[in-house]
Amino acid sequence: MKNNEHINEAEELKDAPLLHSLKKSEVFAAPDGYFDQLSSNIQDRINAKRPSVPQIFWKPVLAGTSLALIISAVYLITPSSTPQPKVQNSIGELQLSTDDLINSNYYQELEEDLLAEALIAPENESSLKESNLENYLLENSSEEELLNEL
Amino acid sequence: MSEFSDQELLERFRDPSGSQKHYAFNLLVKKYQQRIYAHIRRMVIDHDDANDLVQNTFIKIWSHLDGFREDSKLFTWMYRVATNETLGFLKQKKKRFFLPIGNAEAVLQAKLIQEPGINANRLELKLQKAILALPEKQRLVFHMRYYDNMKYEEMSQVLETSVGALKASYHHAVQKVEKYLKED
Repeated sequence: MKNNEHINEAEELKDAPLLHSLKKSEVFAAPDGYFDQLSSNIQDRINAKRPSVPQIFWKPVLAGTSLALIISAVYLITPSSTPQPKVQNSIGELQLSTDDLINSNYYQELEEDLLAEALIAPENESSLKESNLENYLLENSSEEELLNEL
Repeated sequence: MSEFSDQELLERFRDPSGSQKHYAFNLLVKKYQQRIYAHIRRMVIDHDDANDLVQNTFIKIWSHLDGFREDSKLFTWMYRVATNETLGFLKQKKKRFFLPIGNAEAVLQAKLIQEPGINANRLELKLQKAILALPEKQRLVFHMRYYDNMKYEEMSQVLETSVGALKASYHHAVQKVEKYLKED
């Protein structure tokens, strides 16, 4: 096999006598001791790249994380399920969104309070207008002031 | 030099217990490190660049050796990994420094003069300059045939080029080098 290669080479270089006459030599020398260290340098880099936790542990973790990311992405992208954003006011407090209010019992409580106020309010108003106001004026004003008012 | 054949090294590397993987790979590196280094160094000239590329090449070989289908000889496959790594590096370098093709070769020629550890007389240095003046792919073909005595079939597997095209490429490369050597 080597002879064949040599014959081929002689034939291939027959039109290049100067090149053929040159002795082949390796002109690029590696620094002294380079090849003694190379394999251990490569092993060090391979070991540095190796994960410290066994791969079998990472598979379910990666699968779970991927699934959570996909679900989050779908939830955020779908318009109907997009929650109204929570707005921050000028002093940095987080304001409640409509969704938060609906989800809480706020409306239920508010409704009851308003109804109660609405039922009580007419009595208060009438008492303030009539006898209570008259008594108040009589107690806190002098006769002169009352006459001047009339 | 390893006493094991490529096949034995592969079997040890692929042993299901994994106990001999590092040992077998270490022997593989020792067996081929000088040839891989020489191939890369001739292409990039600079030792530090060559060192990085040799290490990257062997790390890639480590990562993909389990999947090596043995369609070619192990060394041919390793040589291909090294070649691709080197060509990728040269391409990136040209892009990074916005070097036109001619300038890239001029940069390598300048490196050749500056680089320490080059053991060459005047004629050998001229030969290296002549080789560096070749287009990149032709230079690769010249190295593989002239220095590494590779068969055209093997070269074809490495470069994914037809044997006929490689023969023509080498013939042109030889003519150009001879012409350069004859010039004053």
